[in-house]
Amino acid sequence: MQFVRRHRRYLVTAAIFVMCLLIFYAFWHLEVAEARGKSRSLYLNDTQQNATATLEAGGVLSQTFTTDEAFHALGVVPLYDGAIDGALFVALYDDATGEALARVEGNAAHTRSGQYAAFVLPTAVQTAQGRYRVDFSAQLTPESAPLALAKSDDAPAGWQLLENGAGAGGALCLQAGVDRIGGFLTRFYWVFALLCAVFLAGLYLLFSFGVGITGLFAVAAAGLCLLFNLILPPYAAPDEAFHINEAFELSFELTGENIDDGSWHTATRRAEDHNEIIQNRFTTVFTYRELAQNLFSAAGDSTPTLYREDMVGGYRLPYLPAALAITVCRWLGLGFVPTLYAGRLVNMALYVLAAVFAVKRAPVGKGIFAAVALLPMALHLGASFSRDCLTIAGYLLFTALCLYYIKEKPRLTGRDLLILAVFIALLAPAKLIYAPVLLLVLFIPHEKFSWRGKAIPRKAVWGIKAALAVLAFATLAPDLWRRLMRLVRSFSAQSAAAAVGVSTAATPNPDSITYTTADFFRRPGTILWLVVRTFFAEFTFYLESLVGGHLGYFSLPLSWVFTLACLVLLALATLPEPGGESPLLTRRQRAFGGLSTLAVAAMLVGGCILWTPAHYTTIYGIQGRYLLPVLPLALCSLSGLGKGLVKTRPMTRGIILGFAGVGTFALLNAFLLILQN
Amino acid sequence: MGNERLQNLKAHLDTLRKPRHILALCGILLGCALVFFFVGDAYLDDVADRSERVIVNDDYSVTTGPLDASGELRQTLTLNGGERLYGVNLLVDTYGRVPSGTLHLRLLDQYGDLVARCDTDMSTLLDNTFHRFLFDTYLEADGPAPYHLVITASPASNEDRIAFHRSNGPPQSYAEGEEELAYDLSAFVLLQNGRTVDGTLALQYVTAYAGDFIYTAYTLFAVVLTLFLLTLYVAVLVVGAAAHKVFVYCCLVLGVTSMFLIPPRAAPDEYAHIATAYSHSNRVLSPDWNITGARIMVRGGDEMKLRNYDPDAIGIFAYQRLYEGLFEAAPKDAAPVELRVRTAPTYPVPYLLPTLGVILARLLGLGQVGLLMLGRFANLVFYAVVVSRAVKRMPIARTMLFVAGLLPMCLQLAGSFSPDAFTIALAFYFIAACLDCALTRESVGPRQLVLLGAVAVLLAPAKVVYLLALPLVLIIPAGKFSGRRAAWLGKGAVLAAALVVWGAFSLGSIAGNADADDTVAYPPDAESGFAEDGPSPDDFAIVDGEVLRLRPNGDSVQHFTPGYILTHLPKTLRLLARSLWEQGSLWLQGLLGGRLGEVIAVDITVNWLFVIALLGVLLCATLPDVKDNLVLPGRQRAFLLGLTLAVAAALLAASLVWTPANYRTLFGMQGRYLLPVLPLALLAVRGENLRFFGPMRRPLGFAAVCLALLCQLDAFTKILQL
Repeated sequence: MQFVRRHRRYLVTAAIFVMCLLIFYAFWHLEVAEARGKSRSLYLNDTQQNATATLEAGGVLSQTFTTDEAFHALGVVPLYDGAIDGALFVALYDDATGEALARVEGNAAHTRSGQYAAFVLPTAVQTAQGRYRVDFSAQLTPESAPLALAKSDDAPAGWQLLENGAGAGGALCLQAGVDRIGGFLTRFYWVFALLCAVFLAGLYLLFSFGVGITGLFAVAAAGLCLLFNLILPPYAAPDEAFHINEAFELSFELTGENIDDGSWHTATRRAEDHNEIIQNRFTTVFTYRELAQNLFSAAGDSTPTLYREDMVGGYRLPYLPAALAITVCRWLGLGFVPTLYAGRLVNMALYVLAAVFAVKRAPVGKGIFAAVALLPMALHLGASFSRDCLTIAGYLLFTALCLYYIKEKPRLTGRDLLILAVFIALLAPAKLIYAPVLLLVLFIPHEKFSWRGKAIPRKAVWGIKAALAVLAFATLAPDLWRRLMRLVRSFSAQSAAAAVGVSTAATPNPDSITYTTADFFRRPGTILWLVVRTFFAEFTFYLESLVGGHLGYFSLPLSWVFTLACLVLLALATLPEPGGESPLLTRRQRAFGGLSTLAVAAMLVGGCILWTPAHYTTIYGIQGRYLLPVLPLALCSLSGLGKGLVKTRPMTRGIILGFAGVGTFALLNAFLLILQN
Repeated sequence: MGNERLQNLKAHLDTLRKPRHILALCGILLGCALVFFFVGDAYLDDVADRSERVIVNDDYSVTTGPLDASGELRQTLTLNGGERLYGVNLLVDTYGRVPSGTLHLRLLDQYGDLVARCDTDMSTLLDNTFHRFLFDTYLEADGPAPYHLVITASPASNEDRIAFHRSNGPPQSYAEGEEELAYDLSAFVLLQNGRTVDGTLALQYVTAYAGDFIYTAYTLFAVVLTLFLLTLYVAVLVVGAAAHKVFVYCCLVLGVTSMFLIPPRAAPDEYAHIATAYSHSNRVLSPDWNITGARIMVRGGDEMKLRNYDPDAIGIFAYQRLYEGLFEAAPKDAAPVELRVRTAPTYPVPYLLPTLGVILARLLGLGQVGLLMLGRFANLVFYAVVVSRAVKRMPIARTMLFVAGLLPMCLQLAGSFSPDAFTIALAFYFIAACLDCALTRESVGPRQLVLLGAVAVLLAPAKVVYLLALPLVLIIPAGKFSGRRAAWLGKGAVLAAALVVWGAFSLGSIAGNADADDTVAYPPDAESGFAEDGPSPDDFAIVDGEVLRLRPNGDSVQHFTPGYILTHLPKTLRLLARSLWEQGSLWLQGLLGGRLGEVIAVDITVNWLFVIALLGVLLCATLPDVKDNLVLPGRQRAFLLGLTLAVAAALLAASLVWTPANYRTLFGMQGRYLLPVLPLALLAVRGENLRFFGPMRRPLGFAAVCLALLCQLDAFTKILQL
């Protein structure tokens, strides 16, 4: 017992490690193991017509066919009327040499009439010439219905069908199973499992040793970001293809090799930077294999090439770190995959650094900053090419720094002012809607401003603050001017909302008629009704897309358990710590936090309304994740409100641990969903 | 005494005059006005105009030719007995233009008397489109009889022409689905200007039309519920009324709202529960009415579908029937009618109150709707009274029990014939009484033990899984009894009595089922539609490499029986894991009331916004605050958690056995089954890590009522869209 007490932390760590592996083992057994047979279907001849080839008792149907690919299964379409029972036999030969390649037996009762029935070969088959002959025969019970196989009227070139040795027209419908994922899936899954187990157990060990909030958070954020990179590879994050194109484009611009025509519908990459399997936004197990096989590949053809692929356009500074990484990779002659990962890892490193520094600097609500940064959606974006990665990181750090200057740092030096100015200059143009958060600098008390140890006069402080505000405005000015012009133009144009109900016969695409800025003034009732209806109809989606209940390109809807767990952890993080300040912010600061959150939400909704076709019943394009940059300020404003629901013991470190668990198993859930793709 | 009350009243009025209360009341008034206006404006216009039609003749190959000012079209038609005709849909030909003038439709009975009419502005008619002509009043046919639809026109000019599509020759009878309509088509004669035409108008009957009733009913509810919230605010936050009294008030108002929100027969399995209560009422009032197995006799006029779930039991037309039939009397001298029904289990006690309601309604001569609503109301009253007593006795987390008792799902069950209301109410009372004995009372005497025993005995046969929650009685410390032996004897006696009664009823149930012809899950093969000449390929499915024979409804014959589970352990585990991941949110919704009605048949999903808020309030209500700061020791909380998990595991096991082997997830598991042990689960998580530093019980209770109301209102909007 004394041993247990003395070594408790190691025993618990070991237990976590083992439990984690057991859970992974359970899912391996339940869901993953059977997916090893996953392969791509290759239709050799899928022109199923009315013709059939009858498979008589004792008879043989011989089909010669060609394919260059190695295959491990062959499928035919059985056709019968009634119940079928008996055995089916498949014999595969090399048509060039006559060598027997495989023999397979199948149960006829396991087939469905009119659907492909696959015969799995003992090993994958591929011959030099790629010419094969397959013989089908059957031994059916006397009660069984007669069996025929579907075929096409015409045969592909070089194919021949024989019925009991006699030539028959057409060709059997044939499907080949190629590219079986096989053992790769096993290796990949267990590497993932081992990393998860080590990560969780290691994090607990640090926790048990009393590592502080910042240290624990740093390990958790870095570890989770790496795991997110593993399971949700490049091109998996929302709109990541466009962001990748933008980063590559910027990289080529930096080296003066850009051959783009200025359009955002074309992007420059190297000739070799193209891979259909990797560039699929719906990740599959084949994506993992392709990435693994090319992880250390060297560049082939490095010629700049123009691809007809869209980019994002607009503010490009958030792409600079990834673009620099891409440039270095190009200089080093690395292939497409390592280049992609280099860009992502640089983004990830910056995200983690910014978040860690934010947690470290935050004078209050460290748990809030940690929780927001560890939300699966934030991590997903943080470990991607998305420009939201650095936007979220920047606002996390800016909010924490402002609170630090407001509440903790006794004097602001010139360096601090410069830091604030740089943040404002960089963040303001990132997305107009987050600009209200930047006004947090106005809450830095006047008496804290100093120059060479002396307090700056009040009027001068106002001048500095005004200068910061002007800086923000100046960076936003082009965007604001563009929007103002749009408003002016929209007043002269026909109101879209007014156009609703009018016949759209003259308009080929009704989606092209969207709401205009003028509609906000002309038809406020319609707009208000649209907003209310959208809020109620889409609330669940907004919540899920805020915390990360939907990952990938909204193609990976995670279990509700994770959304609920994230919400609970977020709520716990928002509660004041025992002995800490409660509420976290003063009344005026809370009011500002609330108002700026509402302003961000209003601009977000307003912007999306302008995208929304007028015949839609809900607003198009809003996602909860757009609120991530303002979430820390919003939660800090909420913390400690009401009758004081408080924690009676510190929980922030536990919350970080909780998020690590949620993130890890959310990834397992995402992986299981990817298995189904 | 009277003077004291007067002083209290004055004090409350003084409190009420405080600006914050006046502001709050104004806020409630404004909020209610906005919400009710918003919902009404958004949904009512659409449903008020909703109608249902029956296609009579769908052959529209030719037109009648233009109907001039002096012309007349006369279509003879027939209606079935009891059928309502609100109007007709006719396929109009306007010759490619928008005509001006007025079209007159008159419906005459066989004697030529005017029954109903409709005058329509011809400019509203669209070319080659069916137009709905609604009569000024609906016609309800007593029996099959001919009627004449006379159509005349007053066109503004000679160029304003109109014609109607008709069949060329005998009409083609057509109805949606496979069934032919039972109209006497030989009586469908078309005359144009007095001459017989060989054909029939392309014709649809408008057999249902919602109309304006919904505005009246909605306004009435809006006013009543606004007043309810205003008075509740005063009672809770100004007067400070006792929680159990407030509970009765809230439960009755919200319960009655739920009774109207989810019309009779639309609550989960309610058709079976109505049949059961009705059959019990027959035993008292009409012992001579022969009751055999799956058949019962009902009064003439009480005919309704009680064998399976009726999709028409919910929706705007169900509301219309409810509205129109609420104060109708039962038809006099109508002969009893035999109905095929599906009855519920044999344990009769949970049906006592609904049965009393039905008996009272029959004695008062109420119509079908009145009878059903009175049966429901009796159930609701029982629930409200018992749970209010539980709230009163609850020594800790009283607000939690208050909120749990007012969850929309509880209200739905209480406001229906469901025996679950009885189970939940008694389970809540049992939990409160056990905790009261354990935490508050200095000693536990025979009276308390008898009370606990009685509740356990009533509860035990209701559902076997809840037996596992009865060991809660063991939480009472031995020190509260006269001695350790007395403690064990007392607690053992409570559990033993429950077990004995459960055993007796289970044996009775098994014996009863042997005679019943409708108690098995699936009828025998002869009735199940399997082909006699052997199975076809469609009767099989391959699931995980295993060939399973299917029933006609797609379910496999093989279920997850204990033997099957043992031989298919990985598959069973996979099913359980998938169920948790995929259906967990549905269970949570089912527990709180985020999905109302018969969830298997209709999808009335309440917005997650309200469900999450309700969950938040429920969890907050569980936390200790300054006045309610007692937290159970860790060991006792672990015990409560163990009981909850045991019940949950038993429910999962029961659902598993019920699940066909070709299913991917559990069949039949619903979150509401966990309601009786919900307080146990919440008390188990009530720890010391989180607490309120101010009194929050009353605001939380008020918030819970508001959220329950919002859930109901949101469900209402979903039902209107069905």
